[in-house]
Amino acid sequence: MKYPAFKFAATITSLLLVAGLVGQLLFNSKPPPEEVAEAVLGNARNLKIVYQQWITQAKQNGADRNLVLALSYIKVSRLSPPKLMDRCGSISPTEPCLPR
Amino acid sequence: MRLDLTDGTLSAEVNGLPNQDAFDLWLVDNGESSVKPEPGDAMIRIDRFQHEGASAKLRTSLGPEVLKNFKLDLVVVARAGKGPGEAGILFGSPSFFQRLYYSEQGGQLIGLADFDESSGPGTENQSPLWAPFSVLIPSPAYAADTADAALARAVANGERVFSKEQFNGNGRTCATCHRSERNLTIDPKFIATLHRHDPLFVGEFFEDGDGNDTNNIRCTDPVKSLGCKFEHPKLMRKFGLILENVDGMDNLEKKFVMRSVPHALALNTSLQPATSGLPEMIGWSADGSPTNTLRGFAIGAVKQHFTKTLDRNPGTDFRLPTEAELDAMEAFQLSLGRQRDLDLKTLMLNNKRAIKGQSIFINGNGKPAPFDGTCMAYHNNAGATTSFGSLANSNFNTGVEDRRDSRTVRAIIDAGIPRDGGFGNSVTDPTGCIAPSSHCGFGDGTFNTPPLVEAADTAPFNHNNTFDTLEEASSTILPISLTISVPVASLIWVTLRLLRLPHSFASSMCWRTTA
Repeated sequence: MKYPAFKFAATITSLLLVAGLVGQLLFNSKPPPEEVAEAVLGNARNLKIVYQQWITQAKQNGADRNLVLALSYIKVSRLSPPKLMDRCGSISPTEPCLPR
Repeated sequence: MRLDLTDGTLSAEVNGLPNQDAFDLWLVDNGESSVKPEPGDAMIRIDRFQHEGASAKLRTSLGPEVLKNFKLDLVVVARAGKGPGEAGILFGSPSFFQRLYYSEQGGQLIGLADFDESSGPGTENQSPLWAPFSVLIPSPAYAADTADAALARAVANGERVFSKEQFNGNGRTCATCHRSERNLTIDPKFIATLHRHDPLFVGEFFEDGDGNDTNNIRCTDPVKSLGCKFEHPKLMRKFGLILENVDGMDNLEKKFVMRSVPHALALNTSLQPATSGLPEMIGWSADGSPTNTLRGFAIGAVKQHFTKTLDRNPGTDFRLPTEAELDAMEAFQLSLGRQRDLDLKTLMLNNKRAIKGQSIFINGNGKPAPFDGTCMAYHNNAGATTSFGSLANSNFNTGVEDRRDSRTVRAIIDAGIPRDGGFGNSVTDPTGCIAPSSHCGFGDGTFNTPPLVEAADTAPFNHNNTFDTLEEASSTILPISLTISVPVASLIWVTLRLLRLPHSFASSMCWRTTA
């Protein structure tokens, strides 16, 4: 063996690499998708405020007794969409609606 | 549709259905599959609508058998004789808040709904037995003991889905366009910094004859590329515009528009519907969601932007979101940014120019309406609604599509891009031409009022990035007698400082085109 030390080091390195790969496969600690603990951009406190506002409104609207769902059209279904009224009381495709 | 949760009485009323056709109401339980009605889902045909004048009505009682192992994920109005998957035309689904609320009511969560603001917790609780049909409403898909925990988990999971989930598609995520480092929008300057293999450019990915991959910016002879019917590379890179088939995907050659990426901040302040119309107003023309709700927005976005091919087949080109993912994304998006509008009239500023701008914004130029130039009328408290009472969240024709003085608009016209008709899909025909062409579009020409508070850091502006800067927007849109952009811009800056907002405040855009 011309370079026994080199060969030994190479063998050890290879073994470590293999062990590392096996370990990575066996013990990969990547959390399952549902296990994200905290938001960075999102703000749960904000959402709580919105939810509390929603609850107040929902109770006033009788949500304790009735579930109300809006049935909405699909834009590409060729049905006429519900009309949105501007301040003029009509939709004007070419002119901006100015207040009366 | 209204369901009495105590006795199972179900009533529904729909306007505008063709009188000569028959329609059925269906309830759908999606189970663990996607949000689309599909084989394997539990579907119950409830009854047929009866036409009464311009309305179609239905009233029936659900039997107790429906309470056994059924969750109401979808309500669908479909043409009679066919199932909701193939013939559904109207859709409704419980929102995340509704799911959470009825979970609390049913005793599955200890939470905020038990708390009555006027008299303290527990005083007006209803027993779960009081409303037996409330068990039909599915719970949010997050195991949690309290509503607080459910909210936190939903927001966190929504953020993960928003930023990382590719839905088995072409590599894009929601965050491909809604960049967190750009206030959840995207602009040409930022696009120029992206690697050529960024998923944003997936429409350009191209292999030449020698097997080299490259970007096909000119979009000629696309090979193994989604191509120019998927994105318009030049307009994307130069103006930050994204191709949208908002009026349907039946004619990809001519039926599309180029739109900017709206930020997703403060959505809670801009979703409320106008007096008649959609459940929620979302997207540049207010009808950007296939279900016309924030919850359903992701469904359309995945189909539009995440697909591997232009066939857009769910299951092979992408997968549709699950109810749990829609729950999460709805929660996450509602949690972003401001939760209410400012009171601009009482807002104290400490800069003279800003105070002057504030006055102009609120009071206009002193002329009688409609020439008074009040920005406040159209952007109440610099928000996304008008000050017109019940018509607050209305659409308007901004005239932007006709701004030939805008280099963006000119570039769009020069590229032969169809006119953006905004809301709806009726044929807009302002010049007597036949749509689709470079002059006509689909829609009534109106767009929804955008919020201004976030504008300072979300340029460019408008549904097609017409204006690059606040100054440009204000000086070109404000009436000639009111082209005082600097004070208004100062208002933006100073208010930003006062409120300690991390980023944006404001803009000076007033949708007035004549004086």
